[in-house]
Amino acid sequence: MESAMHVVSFSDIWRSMGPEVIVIGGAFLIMLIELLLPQNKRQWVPWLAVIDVIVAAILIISRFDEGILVYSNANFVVDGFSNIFKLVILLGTFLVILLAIAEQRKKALPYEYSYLLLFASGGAMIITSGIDLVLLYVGLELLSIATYILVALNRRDGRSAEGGLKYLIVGSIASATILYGLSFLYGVAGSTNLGQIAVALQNDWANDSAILFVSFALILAGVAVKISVVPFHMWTPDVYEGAPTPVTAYLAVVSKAAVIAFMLRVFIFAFGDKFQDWWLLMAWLSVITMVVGNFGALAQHNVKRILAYSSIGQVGYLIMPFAAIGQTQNVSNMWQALSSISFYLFVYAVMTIGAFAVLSKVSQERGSDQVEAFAGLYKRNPWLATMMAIFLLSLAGLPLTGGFFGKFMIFLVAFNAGQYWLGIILFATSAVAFYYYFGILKAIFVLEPTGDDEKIKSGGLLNTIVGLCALGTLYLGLVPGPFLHVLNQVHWFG
Amino acid sequence: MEDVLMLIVVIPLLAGLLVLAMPARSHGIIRAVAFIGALIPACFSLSAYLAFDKRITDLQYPFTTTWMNIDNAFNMLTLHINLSFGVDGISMPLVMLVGVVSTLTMIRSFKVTERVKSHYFWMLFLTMGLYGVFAASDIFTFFFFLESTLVASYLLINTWGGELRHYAATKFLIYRGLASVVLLAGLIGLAYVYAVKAQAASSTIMIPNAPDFLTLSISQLLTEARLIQIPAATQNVLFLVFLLAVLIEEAFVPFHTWLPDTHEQSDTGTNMMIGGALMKIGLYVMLRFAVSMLPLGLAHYAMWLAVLGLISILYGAIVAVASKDWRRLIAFSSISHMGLVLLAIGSMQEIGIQGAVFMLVSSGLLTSLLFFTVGAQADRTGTFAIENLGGLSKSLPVISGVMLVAALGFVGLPGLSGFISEFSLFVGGFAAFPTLSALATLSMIFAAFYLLWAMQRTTFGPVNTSLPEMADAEAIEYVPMVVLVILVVLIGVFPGVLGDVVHGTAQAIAARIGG
Repeated sequence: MESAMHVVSFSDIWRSMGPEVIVIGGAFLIMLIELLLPQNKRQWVPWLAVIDVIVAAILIISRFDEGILVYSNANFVVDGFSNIFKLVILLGTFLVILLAIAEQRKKALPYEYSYLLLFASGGAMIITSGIDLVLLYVGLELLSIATYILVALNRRDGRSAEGGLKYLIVGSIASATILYGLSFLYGVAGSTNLGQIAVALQNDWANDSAILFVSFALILAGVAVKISVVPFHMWTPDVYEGAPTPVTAYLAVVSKAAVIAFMLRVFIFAFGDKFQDWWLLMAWLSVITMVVGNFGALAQHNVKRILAYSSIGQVGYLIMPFAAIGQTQNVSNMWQALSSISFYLFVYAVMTIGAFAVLSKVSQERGSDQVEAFAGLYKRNPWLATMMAIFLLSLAGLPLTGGFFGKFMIFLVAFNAGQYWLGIILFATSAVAFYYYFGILKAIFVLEPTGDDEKIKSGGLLNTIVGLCALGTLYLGLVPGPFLHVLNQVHWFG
Repeated sequence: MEDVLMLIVVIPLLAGLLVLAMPARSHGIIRAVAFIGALIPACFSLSAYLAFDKRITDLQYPFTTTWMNIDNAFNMLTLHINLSFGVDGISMPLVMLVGVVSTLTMIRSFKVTERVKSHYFWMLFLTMGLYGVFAASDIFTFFFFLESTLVASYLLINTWGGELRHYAATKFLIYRGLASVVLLAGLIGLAYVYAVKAQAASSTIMIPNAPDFLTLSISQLLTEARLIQIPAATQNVLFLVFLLAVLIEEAFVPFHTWLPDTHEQSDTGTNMMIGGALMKIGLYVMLRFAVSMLPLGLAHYAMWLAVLGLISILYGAIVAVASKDWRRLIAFSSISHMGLVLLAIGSMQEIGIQGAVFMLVSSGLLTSLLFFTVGAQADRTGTFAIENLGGLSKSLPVISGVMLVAALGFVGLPGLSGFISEFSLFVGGFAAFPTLSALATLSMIFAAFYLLWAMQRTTFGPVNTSLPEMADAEAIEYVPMVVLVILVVLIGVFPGVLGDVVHGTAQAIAARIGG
């Protein structure tokens, strides 16, 4: 690596960081516009954010086949991996902003969310492209700090404030822990560049496992908090319950996708074959996360908490391929693992946001998040009921939905790596999950409506969001072929 | 004729969607659409039966369309997933069984007055799932339809059942959900093992059809099972997985507790579908995958099958004696009868395999008939409790008479379908396990005891004066009863109508397992 500073021109920045520039620059612009607009015109502000996200996504897609680009002294890389993850992040952000707009009419969330979500997503996108510890950490903090505020956004709700505080404290400790772990990597390599760290771990420090262990353990503990891997999940149900529903969906989907990208970059890219020492640990974390998440959900009666626990369980599925990556030497298996994670993230994004969208409407109208609030939803609003059924069946992993194929792909990865037991536990815990997902289904279709017999009127926007999510869920379940094919062609790492 | 199976599966779904599009209050039209939506595929399955080539033992009426390909699914192998149908001598009778049972259930469901639209939608959905399960010739297609039946029957039990229906439906869901998970593990393992073996074999010996991809096609797997011998240890593991799945799916002791609850809490139409068709899936899986493709595994566990079968036979029969509710009695009696099938499969005899298919069909018809008549009397008396009934033959001579036919069919009266089924099963059983089979014959005595005793207390004996005034069978109720009785007698008197179809395939399977 040359030591001389090499001058980065604006056109270089645009070519490499175009999407990030659009998202973060757009966020600043929208912040200003929001400030300057009169109060009664501000309802247009979130739509600007939607446009911003769409533009960024189009830019990424248009450059999808350009190959690997490395910029700025190899701090920032645009490769297939980062493009795929950025698309997940933007898809999630897009849906969440729409959901927030749809929910806003009644609850009157402050419009700050539109640019805060953009800042958070900008941070998330930086994570996916960063191959430098500083850049990765800055992205992570941008994401975290924005989401701390977002969780507490509903100022009039005590639970939101409590959730915000909880998330702030737990999240900052986690960030600090990650930073501590990263500092060891810097100490080992004398550089913050992941490539140089990888080289140092191969050569100079190949036999010093103690320092690597400390570093790995600290980073793992930190990211485990951020994506609520058991036993670092305790905050999740409280925060999810307290946060405004669109923010909950954001935490569940976008924030997790970004942190998983972080894990892949650091663990796979920097640690390289040192990661093999820890595959069993990842496997067990995945197992206890699946078990605790799914069994924890059994005891819940609040749908938001059920979804919170279920999202813990889903993280268990998501981190399972890490074990395969750690154990296998075979590049094709590693690629398969990466494409299975990405596929599942897309499925997870649409089905989870869809479920939260229906939940937000129902709980608004019925004034409760409890399962009983869903009683007789089919009579109150057949459209929402049917869409919710699709999301729940997908979350449960029934065929013809994306959820089945997502799990199936992960199962294949485990199978391929010879980890049959992990695959079996995956499906066994999914069978446990039937119980609570079908419990909600039962409420929707079977139970008679309680209380008044009023219909739930859902606006066109909300109907569109859940329709889009359902379309995505079914598309990925009915014809996953083309999309999997794209994922298979991706050149993952630079 | 090539697309007949695809049409059979798709038509109920289309009818279901049509039902959804109807206004909720027009019950008459909804009923008519649902009935026609079940009748047409039933007629198609009849025509498929008539055109069935009995000399061919492979899957007939193949229909395959590519669904999706997954690159790099296993060690760079591509996974081909197809929407694929095909029937052989084992599945053809079961497809017809679904046709008969579903059509008659639609008639019975004319009595449903609550939430008619969604009732018929889920009924048609369940019908589609059942057709799909038995007609599938691709593992993924099969599994998809299996899960569809799960969703549909869960909601059917949950909405139109008795007081404890939520409990029963949840139990149903958990047991069957667990079974399908285990089954999926077995199915994927099977496909994987054959893919790896076929790949290895094709590079050493000349084997035609050995794929360089991972296939889920059932006919492909059946072909490979003939050509390639999987090591015994692997077969044993896979067989054990399938066995576990089947034990749960088919409610064998000790995994049986969900079935009586389900039957007790479901309404009559749902019971006819579940008892008549859905409960045949487990043993069908056993025959289709475990027996046909894992002969060494079968040989290894044959004794276990017989013992587990015997336990279910005796346990089911003994508990049935103590049952106070007609629906529980039928449930336990079907557990007992399915145990007999397991015993016969364990015998690894050709006649046992043939008897197994006979028993699946016969018990499907008889169970539906019994549930229908028991339900018909309960519509009038308002109770299923045996001790509250009495003297029904006075006021309901037709229904009681048909009920008696069904009961006698279960007992195994010659001339009815139950006899020829049990006869073949026992012939197979005695050839391999004389002692166990001798013990199993006790179940016939028990069956005669509990069924006839229950009949005696229900239809004959003193009239229970607390029962309301009743009218005998209405015109529309004659249809299911007459059709089922005719079929039961037809199979009993001319077993050839079924046997000719089954024979070739049963022979092929028996040759594979060395029976």
